[in-house]
Amino acid sequence: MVRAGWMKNWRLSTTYPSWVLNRLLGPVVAVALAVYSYTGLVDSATIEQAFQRAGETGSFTGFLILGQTIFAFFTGINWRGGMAVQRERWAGTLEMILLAPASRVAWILSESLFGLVDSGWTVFLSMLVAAMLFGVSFHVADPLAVAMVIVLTLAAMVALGLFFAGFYVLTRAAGPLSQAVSAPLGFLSGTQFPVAALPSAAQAVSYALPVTYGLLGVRRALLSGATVQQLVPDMVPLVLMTVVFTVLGVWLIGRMEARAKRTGSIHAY
Amino acid sequence: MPSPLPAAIEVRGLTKVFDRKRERGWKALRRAPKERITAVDHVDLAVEEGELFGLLGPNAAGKTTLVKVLATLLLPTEGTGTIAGLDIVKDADAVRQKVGVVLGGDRALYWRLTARENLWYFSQLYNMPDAPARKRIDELLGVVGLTDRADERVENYSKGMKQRLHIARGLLHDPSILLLDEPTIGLDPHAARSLRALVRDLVDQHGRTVVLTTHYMYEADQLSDRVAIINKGRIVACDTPAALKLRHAQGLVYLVEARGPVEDALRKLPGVQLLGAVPSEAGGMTYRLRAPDAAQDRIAGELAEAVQQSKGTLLGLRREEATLEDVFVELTGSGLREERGGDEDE
Repeated sequence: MVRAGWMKNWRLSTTYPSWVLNRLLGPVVAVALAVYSYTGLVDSATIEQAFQRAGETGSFTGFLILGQTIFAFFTGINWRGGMAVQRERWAGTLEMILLAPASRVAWILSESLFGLVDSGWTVFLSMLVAAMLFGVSFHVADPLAVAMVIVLTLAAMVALGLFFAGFYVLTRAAGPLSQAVSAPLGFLSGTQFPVAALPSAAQAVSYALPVTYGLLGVRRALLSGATVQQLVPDMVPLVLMTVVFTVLGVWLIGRMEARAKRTGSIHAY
Repeated sequence: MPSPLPAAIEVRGLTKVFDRKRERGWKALRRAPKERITAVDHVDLAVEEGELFGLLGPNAAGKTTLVKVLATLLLPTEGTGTIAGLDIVKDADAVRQKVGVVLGGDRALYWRLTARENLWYFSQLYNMPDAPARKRIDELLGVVGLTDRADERVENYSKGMKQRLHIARGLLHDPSILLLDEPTIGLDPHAARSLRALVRDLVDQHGRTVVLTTHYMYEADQLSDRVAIINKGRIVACDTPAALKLRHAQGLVYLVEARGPVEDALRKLPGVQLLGAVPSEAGGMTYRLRAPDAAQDRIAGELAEAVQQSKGTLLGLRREEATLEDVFVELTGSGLREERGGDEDE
């Protein structure tokens, strides 16, 4: 299944070279936009000082780069995994897939896995380019901590994608819905500013999102040199959310497929 | 005495009702009573193993809905159905292994992939091991006549080729039963003829059971061992085409080709029923009429006289065999092309 998903998606995406260009340029431009929205008004030194005074560690530009690139990772995985159902509906192939006895969850996970790799290399390259352009150096004290927090963040994102996929089986408005969810997710997860800057009610929502913990953990590991032990407060919620969203996603996909078969909403797009 | 083998497909009291919102857009968000559309209405059917079974009906008759319920893509509202003895609701996963489904239309394939890539992807969704899958794909590409174009992107295919590829996809996992929904719709006559031959061959040479939906009466007549006529979600008759015509299309069918205002005069002839009228190649109209058997000796003369009396020009007059369309008209009071409705066949 994984191999089949890989072949299909690779062949489909490489038939449009502009997509590859977009995936490479997108995160770099997003980072540049975020950086210049601050440095265009105040000099870098003042911003860095304000950032430290707010109790944050590491460089603010590094904070922005990681925020944008990790969020680009999330949108990539969500597009492949969460939106898998809707993309097949657009292509007119959803009914054919649901006619097959393959596990729906395995199928969505195979799409997510492609999203992981597909977004991964572009996001990684973009991050390097942005770091060089804006002169950011990373401070890694514990490579195992970096690896662990990245893996757990990605697992939580895949699980969140599975959860969204459950909803998208039912609705034909998955495209606009996904976009409507994406921007608030980016805002509440603290991609461009510390979550602590948000009102307390909004923070409550932020801390229910896996992307928030992923960003916190990855930033601590790559900018402040945090160790595995220091990252436990970020990694535990990520593990819990991965489990919760996976269970909810599997349950929802089954329920929503049955409902879509009752209402007849599978076929149309 | 051994018990008889179960039918390949058996359906009892099968009903599918859709609840549709009356409003669209923002208004649809309000809580309002929904419109109930009965797409399939208490259908009873039994399809025997190795049979080519036609489901004939106009657009929106419920054919596609019935196929989708059998294919496990829709859940029935009422009633039961079995495929190869397996319940279509409780044993849905097992049913999917037994049945191949071809839903009509251009889509349902990845246009940017080749035929071979499409088939390989779908073979993996049926959990087929790689080497046997590739062997099966080669074999099926040969069966549907696409071997020479197998490595070409589907976007370059004609409609007929896409439809052949759909059939190959439906046969990938070697199902004993094939459900074909309007397989020749939109095809040119040559492609449609060649596809019909392929479908007949699947039954005669490969031993499949095929259920084929169509609104082309010629197709149902020529291809099917038995035909069920469906209208407004109900099966109104089911038998061999010959038996249906014998039972329900009594009387003599005549084609009158004429120029001028003759329609009223033809209609007024005692016992004559106008079945349809289409423009003729000679610039007039061809009227299709049915007359009672008792009028056999005099009806040709009466038709010719009616045309003359209404100051029309008679261009041709001939007797024709009854068709399934005549059966449909007899049973429903309307022609196959006249029916319009609101279910998803549209």
